[in-house]
Amino acid sequence: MDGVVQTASLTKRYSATITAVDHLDLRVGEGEIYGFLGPNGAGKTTTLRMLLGLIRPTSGTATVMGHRPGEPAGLAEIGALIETPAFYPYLSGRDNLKVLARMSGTPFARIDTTLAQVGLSSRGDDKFKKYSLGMKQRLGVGAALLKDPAFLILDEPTNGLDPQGMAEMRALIRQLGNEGRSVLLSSHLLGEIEQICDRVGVIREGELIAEGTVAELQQRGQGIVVRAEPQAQAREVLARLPFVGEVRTMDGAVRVTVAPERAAEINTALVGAGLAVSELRPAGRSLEEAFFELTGGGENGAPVGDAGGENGAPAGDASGVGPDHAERSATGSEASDGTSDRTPAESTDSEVRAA
Amino acid sequence: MRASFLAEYEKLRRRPAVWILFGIWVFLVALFAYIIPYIIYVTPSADTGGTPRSELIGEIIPHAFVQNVLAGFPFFGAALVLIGGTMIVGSEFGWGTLGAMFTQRPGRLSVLGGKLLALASMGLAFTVAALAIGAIASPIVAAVQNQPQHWPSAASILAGFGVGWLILTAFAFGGLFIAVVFRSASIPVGLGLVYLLVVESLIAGFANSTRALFLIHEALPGANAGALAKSLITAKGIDAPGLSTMTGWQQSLIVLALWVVGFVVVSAVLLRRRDVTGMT
Repeated sequence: MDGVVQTASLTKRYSATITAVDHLDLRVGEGEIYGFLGPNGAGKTTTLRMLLGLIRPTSGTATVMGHRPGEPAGLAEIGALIETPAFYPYLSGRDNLKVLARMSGTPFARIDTTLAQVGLSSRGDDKFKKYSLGMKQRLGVGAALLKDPAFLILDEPTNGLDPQGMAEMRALIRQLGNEGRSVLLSSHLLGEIEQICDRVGVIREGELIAEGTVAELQQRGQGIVVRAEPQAQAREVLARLPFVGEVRTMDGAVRVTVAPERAAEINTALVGAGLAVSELRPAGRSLEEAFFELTGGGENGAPVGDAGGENGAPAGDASGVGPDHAERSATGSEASDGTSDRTPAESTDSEVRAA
Repeated sequence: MRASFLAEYEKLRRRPAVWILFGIWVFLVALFAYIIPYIIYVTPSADTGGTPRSELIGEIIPHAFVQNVLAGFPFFGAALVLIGGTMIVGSEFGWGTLGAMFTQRPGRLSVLGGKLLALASMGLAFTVAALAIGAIASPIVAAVQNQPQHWPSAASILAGFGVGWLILTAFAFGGLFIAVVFRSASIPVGLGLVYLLVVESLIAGFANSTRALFLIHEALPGANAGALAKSLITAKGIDAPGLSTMTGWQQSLIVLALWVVGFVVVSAVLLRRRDVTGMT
C-alpha cells in the first residue's frame, strides 16, 4: 500500500465555473498524523467527503486504505467525523453508537470502551438531544473511534470543547497516532496542528499549495530581519545583493528572503554602504505566519487572525482557546427535529470558489 | 443487508413518531370500522344514509372483519405509512445522519435495502394490528347483538392480509421515494398527502371526462390500491373514501406492484449516484 490515502489529480467541479477541489495530489502515509489546513472554502471538507465516497469526484482518482472511496472493505477500516456531529436526537448516546455498531458489524462491547475513551461513560444513557455542544462533539469523535479503525478522518474534532476537553482530545489523537493509526486531521486551529501533526498539507482554492512537516513549512521562505537607517537606502542595498530574494518592509523593519547564514555578508554590505545597523536576526516564523503567507492571509474575506472562522467564528482565534468555538459549532448544527431542508448548494457554499 | 435492517429496525422501534403513527392508525381503524358503525346501528334515530340496518350490522360482525378493516387501508392507512416512509429517510437528510450511515461498512444500496425492509415491517405491523382489531371487536359486537359468530375462510383472511400489506408497503415506499427526491422530510410529507388526498381524488372525479384522464386514473397508485382493496370487499354497506371499482384485482395488483418496483429502483439510483453533502 502506497499510503492510507493516495489521490491523483482529484477534482470536484460543481459547474463550469465552480471548482471546489482542483487536481489535488494528496498522500497520507501509514501511521502518520496528517494535518489538512486551509482557509474558508479552500476545499477541505469536499476533499474529505470524496475520500469517504460521499461526494463523487468529477475527475481524478483516490484510494483510501487501498480501496476506492466508499467501498465497504475500505469503509470497514475508516472512522470519520466530518463537520458537525450528526446523530438521532431521540436516541441516547449509547444507543446511537449501538445503531452504528450494528451497521458496521462492530461488537457491542466496543461501545463502553469508546464512551470511556471520549469521556462520556457517565452520560452515555442521556438522549443525544440533551447533550451540550462539547458532548455532541465527543460523541462524534467516539463514533469515529467505534470501529477501532486503522485510519481516522477527523474534521475539526475539538470544535465546541472547552480548553481542558481540547487538550484531552489532542492527547487522544496523539495517542492514536502513537498506536500506529493513521489520522487525517482537518483543522483551523494552527496550534492544534502544530502540536499533533507529523506532516501538514495546505490547501487553497482547491489546490495543494504546500506540504511538509511543520518545521519545513516554517522554514519555507525563511529570512533575516534587518533594522538599518535610513531604511530606504538599506532596502536598495539589500535588493542589489545577488543572493537575496524578496525584500519587503514588515513591522518597521526590512525582511529579506535569504539563508540565515548570509547574515554576516548582509551586515558587511550595509555597513560598507555607510548605514547604521541596529538589528540583524533570523526571521523566526510560527506556523500561523507561514499559513497566512502561504494562503494569502485574509484574501478570501477572512481577516488576518481568522484561522478558525469557517462557520462564522469571530476573528483572532487561531489558538483554539476561547468561547467562539462553541458558537462556531452551533452555527453549523442542524435542526433537531430532522426537518432541515438544507440543500447541497447551501451546504457546500463555503467549499466552492469561482474558477 | 441484515445489519442495515437491524439498525433501521432499532431506529424505527425507538422513534416516538412511529408509535404516534401506529397509535393513530389503531384509533382510526377502531373508530371508523367499529365504533362509529356500532353507534349508528344502536341509535334508532341515527341517519344511516339509506343503508339498511341489517347491512350495518353485517359490516361489523366476524364474517366481514377482514373486509371491514381493509376499507381503511387505501385512504388513511396509505396516508399514515406515507408519512412513515418520508420520515425514515427524510429525517436522515435533516439530521445529517445519512452520511454516517453511508460511511459504515455496508454500501449505500444495503442501507436503502435496510430501510425498505424496515418499512415493509412497519406495514406488516400496521396490517396485523388492523386485522387484530377486527378479530377482537367483531366477535364482541356479534355476542352483544346476538349475531352469528361465522368467520371468514383462511384464504379470505390471507388474501386480505396480503392486499393490506401490499397497499401499506407501496405507500410507505412512495413516502421514502418522495423524501429521497427532495432530500428532506417536511416538504415530502406535505406533497405526499396533498397528492394522495387531493390530487388523486380530483383526477378520479374527472376520470370519465376524457379517455386520456381515464387512462391516467387507471395508472395511479391510489386508484389501484382502492380497486385492489375493493375487489375483496363483497359485504354490502362497506364503503370508504379511496375504494374504487375502476378495474379488476389482477390489473390493480400488477399496477401497484409496478409502482413499488418503480419507487425502489428510482430511489436506489438517486441514493447511489447523488453526492451526500450533510453528515457526520
